[in-house]
Amino acid sequence: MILSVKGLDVAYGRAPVLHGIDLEIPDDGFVCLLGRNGVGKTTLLNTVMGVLSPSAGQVHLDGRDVTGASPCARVAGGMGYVPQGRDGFSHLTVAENLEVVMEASVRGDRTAVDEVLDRFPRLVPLLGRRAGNLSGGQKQQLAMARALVTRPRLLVLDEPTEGIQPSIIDEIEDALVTLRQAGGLAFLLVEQYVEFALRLADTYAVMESGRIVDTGPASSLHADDASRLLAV
Amino acid sequence: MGAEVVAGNDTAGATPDQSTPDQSTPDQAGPSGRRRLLRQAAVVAATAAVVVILPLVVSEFRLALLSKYLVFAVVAIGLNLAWGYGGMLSLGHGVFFGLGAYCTGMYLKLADAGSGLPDFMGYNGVTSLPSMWAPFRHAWFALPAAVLLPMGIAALLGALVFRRRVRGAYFALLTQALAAAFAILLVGQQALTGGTNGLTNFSTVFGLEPGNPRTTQILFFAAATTLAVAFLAVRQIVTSRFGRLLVAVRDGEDRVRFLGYDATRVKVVAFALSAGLAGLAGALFVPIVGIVSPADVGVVPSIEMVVWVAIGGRATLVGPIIGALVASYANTTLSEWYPDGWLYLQGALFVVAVVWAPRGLAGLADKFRRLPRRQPSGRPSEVAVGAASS
Repeated sequence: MILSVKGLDVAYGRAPVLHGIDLEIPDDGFVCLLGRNGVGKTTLLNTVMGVLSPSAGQVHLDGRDVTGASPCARVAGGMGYVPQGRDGFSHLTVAENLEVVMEASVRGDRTAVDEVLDRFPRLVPLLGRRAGNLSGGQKQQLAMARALVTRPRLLVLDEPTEGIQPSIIDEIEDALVTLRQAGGLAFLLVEQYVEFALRLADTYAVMESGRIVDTGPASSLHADDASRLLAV
Repeated sequence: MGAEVVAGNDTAGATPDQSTPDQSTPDQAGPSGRRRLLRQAAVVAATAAVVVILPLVVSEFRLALLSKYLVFAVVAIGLNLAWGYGGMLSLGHGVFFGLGAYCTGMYLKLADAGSGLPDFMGYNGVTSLPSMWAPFRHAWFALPAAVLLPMGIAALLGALVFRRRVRGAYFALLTQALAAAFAILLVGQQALTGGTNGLTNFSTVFGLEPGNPRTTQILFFAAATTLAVAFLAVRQIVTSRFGRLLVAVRDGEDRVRFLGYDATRVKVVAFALSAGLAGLAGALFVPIVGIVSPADVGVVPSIEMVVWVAIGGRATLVGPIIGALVASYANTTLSEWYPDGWLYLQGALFVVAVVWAPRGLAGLADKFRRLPRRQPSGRPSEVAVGAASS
């Protein structure tokens, strides 16, 4: 298992948010996490990434206990994170955004940057443009590109399609499919766009009130049923 | 496919209203690159000429004032590194400036006292040299300490607060409280620090006679050289990998963490470098002005330092220098005409700079330079329409 979460409890102060979360992602696996707003999906991702500390439970990355590790250590261990929202390093150019990551990463190099640009060709003519001047879809692609330059073994994505036009969503989907086919990369996707998530994932998990209440093969969940399940 | 990644030049820290054309590769080899090099060489030559000529044409009093302004410019470019490029608004840089100034002041007082005690200690009933003063008998200790002590304290403070993700207004308030506490401490420990009067009445300045025209000239050149070296150092930093990272931390600290960097370390280093420059400026300030007191290091001077950067243009290289020179000159001039008026004007300038000119004077100059040039005949739109229809 590339990621194994066991009995995770998380609280904001005295208010409990997550209760006994168990989640496993195999090497090369693709898990999508579905749920209404406010059920704790982003909290779970932030805990997996080390931004929040759990009050109980453990997070294992590739068999190593990383429960107390910093986000930097987790990235060095093979996690890549594309957080919600598209704001990046808006005063740096697209090229500088990628170079900054390349220089930081233990696995990133210029080849990684070139490979990422192959995945997102729309970014190539924009290399000299300031990231703050990109469109929403371009920013999202850049955010994913930055995470991929670190050559992660687990890519964690928090609502990558939020507020993105359909044609760009298709490009993001194509990129994720290509990445999946290339192998060596597992995914944890939080998404409200159910059809998109179920097309990509092989396993789904539904969250409700800080708990995982349903899980199974993505092919077994019809998008209409999932949408009804997630309706507010 | 191997698309070559190129970094745009001079981009670190620019603001969103500054558009950059796609694929902005620095063109050093072409005619535009040569023109730029020539322009830079001309600016350097003109600046050097002004520095050499000024001592010959202005009075000793004005030259000493100018030296003080140059020292303030060193503080400003250091503060700009932390605030403009790193997003760390420090309202307490007077502390670091003061630490540097007091280190030099202590050395000068001990040099005057010989084997005895500084004069103010005698007035306060001190009979033996306090142990914290003893190392400052030596220039080899006092001068490096003027830079390293502020850096160390800034690094310690930064490590404590940045690790706990204290930033923005909270960090600004914390540093302001530090400045207030430092000034109160200086005033309260009169026997150790000279209290409200500070350290003054130096009879020698590194073997030179204070007030002597030659001394004033030497200190002016020392201030100008320090400013030039500090400018080049900061320029090197902000155009380096570290500089890009610093801007990235300013733009998205958490995202930098998610990409594998320890953002705290980056901020601590930048803040410490900034404090070191303030300390260096403080060390030069004392021989030039002949005094350092709590009035030079507390909350008000710390806010003035921020105003210099805001007026000149934060996250620009030259802006803080311009801001420090212009604001300090205006301060002196207006204080001579309307002693009470400067503070109001300074406040108004700060508001104007923040609201209408967030990139300060440097940003305005840049905006005017980018205005479309008037066509030789007809309106630009007519020329464009004509060209399109032909």
